[in-house]
Amino acid sequence: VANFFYIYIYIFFVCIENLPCELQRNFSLMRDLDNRTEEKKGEIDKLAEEYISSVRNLATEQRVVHLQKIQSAYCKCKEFSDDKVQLAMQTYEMVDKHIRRLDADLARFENELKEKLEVSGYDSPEGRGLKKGEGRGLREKRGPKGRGRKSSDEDSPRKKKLKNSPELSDALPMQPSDVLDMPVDPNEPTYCLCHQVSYGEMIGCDNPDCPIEWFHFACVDLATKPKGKWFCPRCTQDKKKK
Amino acid sequence: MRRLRRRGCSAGEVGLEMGRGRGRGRGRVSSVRPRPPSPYRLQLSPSRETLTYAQAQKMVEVDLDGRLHRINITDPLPVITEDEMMAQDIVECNSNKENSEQTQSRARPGRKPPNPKGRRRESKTSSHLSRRSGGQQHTQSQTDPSQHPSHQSPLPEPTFRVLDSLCPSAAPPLPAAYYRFIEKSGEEQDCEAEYDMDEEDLAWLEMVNQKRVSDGHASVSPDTFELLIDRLERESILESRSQALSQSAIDEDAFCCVCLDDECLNSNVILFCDICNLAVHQECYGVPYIPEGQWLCRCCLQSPSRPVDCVLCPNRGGAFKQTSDGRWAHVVCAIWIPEVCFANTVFLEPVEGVNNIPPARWKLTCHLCKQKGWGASIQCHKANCYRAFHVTCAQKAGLFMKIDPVRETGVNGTTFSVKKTAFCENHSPVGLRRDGSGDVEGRLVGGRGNRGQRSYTQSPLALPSKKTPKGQKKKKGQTTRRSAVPVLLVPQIPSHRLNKICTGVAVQRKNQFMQRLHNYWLLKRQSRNGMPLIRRLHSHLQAHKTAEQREPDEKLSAAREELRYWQKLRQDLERARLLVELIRKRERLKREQMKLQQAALELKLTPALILLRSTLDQLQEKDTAQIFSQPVNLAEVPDYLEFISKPMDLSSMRAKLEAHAYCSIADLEGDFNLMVSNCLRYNSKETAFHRAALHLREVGGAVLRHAHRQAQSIGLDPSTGMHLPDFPNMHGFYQCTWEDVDSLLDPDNRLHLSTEEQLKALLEKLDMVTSMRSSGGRTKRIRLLRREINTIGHKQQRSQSLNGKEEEVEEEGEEEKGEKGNVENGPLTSASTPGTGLTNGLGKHKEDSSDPQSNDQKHSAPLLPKRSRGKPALAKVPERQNGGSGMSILLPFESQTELTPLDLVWAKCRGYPSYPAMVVDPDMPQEGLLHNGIPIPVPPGDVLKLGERRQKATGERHYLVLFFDTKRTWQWLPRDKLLPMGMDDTVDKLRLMEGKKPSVRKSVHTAYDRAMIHLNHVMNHAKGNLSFNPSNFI
Repeated sequence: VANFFYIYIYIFFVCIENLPCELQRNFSLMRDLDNRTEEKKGEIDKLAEEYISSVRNLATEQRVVHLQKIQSAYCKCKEFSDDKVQLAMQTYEMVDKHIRRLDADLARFENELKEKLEVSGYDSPEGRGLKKGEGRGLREKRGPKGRGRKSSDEDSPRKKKLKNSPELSDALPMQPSDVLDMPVDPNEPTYCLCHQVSYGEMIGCDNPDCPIEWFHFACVDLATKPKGKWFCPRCTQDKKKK
Repeated sequence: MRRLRRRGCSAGEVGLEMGRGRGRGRGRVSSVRPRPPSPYRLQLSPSRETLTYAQAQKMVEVDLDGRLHRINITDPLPVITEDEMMAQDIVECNSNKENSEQTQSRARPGRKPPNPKGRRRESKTSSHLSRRSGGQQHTQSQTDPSQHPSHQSPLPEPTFRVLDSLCPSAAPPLPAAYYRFIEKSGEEQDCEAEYDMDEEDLAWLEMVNQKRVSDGHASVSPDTFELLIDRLERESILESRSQALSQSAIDEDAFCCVCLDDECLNSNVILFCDICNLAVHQECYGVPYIPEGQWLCRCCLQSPSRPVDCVLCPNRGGAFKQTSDGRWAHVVCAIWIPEVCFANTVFLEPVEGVNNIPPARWKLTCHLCKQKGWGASIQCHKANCYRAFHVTCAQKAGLFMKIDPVRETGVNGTTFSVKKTAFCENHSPVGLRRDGSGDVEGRLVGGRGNRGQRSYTQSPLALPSKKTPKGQKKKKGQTTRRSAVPVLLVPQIPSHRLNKICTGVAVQRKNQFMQRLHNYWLLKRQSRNGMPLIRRLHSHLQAHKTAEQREPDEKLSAAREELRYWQKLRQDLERARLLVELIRKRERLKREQMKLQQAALELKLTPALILLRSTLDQLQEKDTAQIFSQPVNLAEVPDYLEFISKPMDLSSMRAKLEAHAYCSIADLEGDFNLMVSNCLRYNSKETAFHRAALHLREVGGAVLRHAHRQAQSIGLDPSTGMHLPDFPNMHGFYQCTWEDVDSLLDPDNRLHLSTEEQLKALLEKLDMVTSMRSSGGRTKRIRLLRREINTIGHKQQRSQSLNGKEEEVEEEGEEEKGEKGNVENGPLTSASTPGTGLTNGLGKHKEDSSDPQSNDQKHSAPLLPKRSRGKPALAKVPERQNGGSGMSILLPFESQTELTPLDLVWAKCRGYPSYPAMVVDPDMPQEGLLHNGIPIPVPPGDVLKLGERRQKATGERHYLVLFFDTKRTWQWLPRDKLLPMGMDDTVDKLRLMEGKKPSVRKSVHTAYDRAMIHLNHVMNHAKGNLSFNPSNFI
């Protein structure tokens, strides 16, 4: 039964082995950038103080030069910030890739396991009873909890984002597994106008600088995925203003 | 369980014997009760609390060496010397040893063996015994020294003797703490025979032995018999184990054979009989508590060997209960037949009232099985339908049968009962007839024919009564069905196994005996419905079965375990993803924060610069055509610098701004004005550039004024471009009330101010009011303010025009005024001040109004080339002199001034657009008049009369006008319908465009042309440049 699974998992394991290292590398890079940004900020503060104290005695050209210094320091800071955001996004993609892969593998394995069970035709009454009970229990558990979040939503918003990337979990319907019963992380990032954690189907704003990024379908009055570009209410408002 | 208890018993006996032995070994205690003061014993003796008062009275408590000794007062206490004490110790040691030996070599004469088996059991347990007694001995040797802790004597020499014959008398039972059960391991159990013979076996063995003895063979001992049976059982279990896997004990689709429902609730589960596999609900069969381990239906429990027949129906199988008179009845039959009930409604047994069934019911013929006089039937509940059927037959046939709970409220309060309805197949409710899926709310519903069929077979007793071929056929079908069902399997033991079993047994004529024994065993098993004869093995088998079932599960569970591990990994990854997502969000926020910080710092360091920048941005926005955004291209207009000494544009303004060249809004405003005036100076009045410049000056003025105010309220230090250290007083530009505005609106209140100051104040108020939230008062005051601004503007203009100042700017103002006049329908003005204030104010107004012409300008402007291509200003000078000076003499500026005869006007008749006309003096001489040599037509008499009449009717002064149309029509019109013509290109153009239809516009155009020609003629005559040339257009 598990042979295929082991192969999958082995490959996966080889892949994931490097993940911690890579994460650490990225994080340390980000930390480095952070430090440099802080340094720059200190510099800027000094420059600003200097400017304020001496502005009366400065000629206009000198003022301009001074302000340009501050400006360039800020430019550097911004560059660092952009780099950090880029790194964070990269890291996210990395983890996400692994997760999707594992999901697909697990789903495949679970399917195989099930098939094997059916093929063998072995249905002990207890086993079946047990399974029946399990099924019922799971259903009950999941019902009120309502955290079927990872199965559908996790790839659905991403679908929009990664239109061209091959969607592994699409090919195989994700098997609902224990992953879903993960305890709720109190620090889970919140999204949408309602500032709630992600659940159900989510849609991403096509404004890359959107401060919120992801929205619940219900919160933006959507039932299906809209065609073409979609902007969140805030971004549309801002766009209109401009 | 029973077996365990039995073993415990024998252990108890052993313990007793041991106690005995010790007592006797001492040789002093003759009483039945041994001397009690052993601490070990005392601990075990009932504690004081448990003693009754009377018992306690008979006790003496002695505290000895910290131990409490309790001695009964009736006990004789022997006096023991110190020497004797030592001797006693020795004897005690001896007795212990003796004790152990005795138990090992114990014969059992005292116990009457009822059968050989009993004896055997003793021997079986003997090994046990030795171990137990050994343990006991050990504890004793431990306790004995503690009994005499103070004695320090040399080690006693043990002396003992072996007793040949010892007959221990029956010992009183020892407390339970003496007995400990050690379960045998599987191997131990395997090597001994667990089977115990029963009477049947004994009888059979006796018979066999008799035969054997008569044949001259040695009889077979009961031990051998037990061993062989035991081996057979074991073999059968091994055999069945392999088969058991193929056929599972419980099928998932099991249904209760009472209600035919497969619903299985936690409180009402379906039970299976461990022998006949009967499936019933707890409630349907009256089993309130599920027993531990095995559960047998009443039938298997009380009549395991014989199938039972229901007294109420001819069918066999199903759930039976015993009736009060020892017969059997189906539970369903008892439920449905009205006269029958259960004595205990919880356990649903026994069935009572079978005798109460009236003979009529017994006599009913079931129309399903057609059997007469067998069992009691019920009838269809449909009125007038008398079809009868047995309850089980109905179930078999899948008739509609339903039980509804009914709550009846009567005199005695509410009673709960059930309403049972059963219909024959002709009357079953529609929709439920035959198709069995109609189980809606009833608990017992028909339409489960196949289920019913499966659960019953017809009683063989009932069958012989029917001799029809039909019946035979039925029987055949039934028997096949019966055989098809594997009744109760007794596993066949292959012969080679049988041979193997008997190898270890020494019996004469082994094969023959084995054959017989095997047959006997088979029969015995069959009679017990296949139940194994050894219970432990049976339960063991079941446990093993589940274990083996679990074995393939083990692989699965291992895989599941694996899966769980990976799922855990998945969770960890998910957590990592959440973390990274949070980091991503944080970084984005940080970036935003950085940007905000920069903006904040900028605001802190260079607030003035930012204000200027935003002002400039707004100005640039207003320059929609981007005429001013870039410097004038000197290559295109080489003469530009001849007129303009200091060129200026928005981009160079921006450059100056970024270089901190501007310290305040005023500086910026200066450059802005320079730029606009440059444009106005260079470009002729007609060009788009000119107009754009005018427009920009107005809107820009508003922007700049706003910026001024902002700068004031912010409080900027012009030298540093930073905030003032102390916060400026808000002074309340935006906090004025309507009263302020209203007081300012009253001209008397501003008398002390100069006109310019008045204007400024009014404009400020206007800006302020417009910036307020819209309301009725606001729009009204805006209008009032505008009117006030206009009148002041006019006053200024007049004073300036009186000064004879004629400047380009003036004309522009004039033009604008004209436009404004059109739009607002307000007073007509023809001149404006060169100051920015007035124009700005108008500009503000224009911004709001949707002047079609300004729109035109805006739209056409981008199409036009840059202003460098505009006409040099000088080119227009003659024209200006032509039109401007000439007309300005002829026409008064004030709107309400009297029009003098021979003025050209735009006359508005009702239903027509404004039309070029000439004011004619009605009192002109009848013989005609020459205006600068141009003849003026004479109004006819009737026209004059009409005019008189009209003036009388309205009491207003009317002017007689002569239209420049082809017919030269006359008309009397009031002053407000007339507008001076030729003063202003824009006004004229507007009038020309007024007509809605192209034909009307065309006629207006031709009329205008005529008027112009007329004007030219008049002018030329006046100047005398040209000779008199009477026109022929009249």
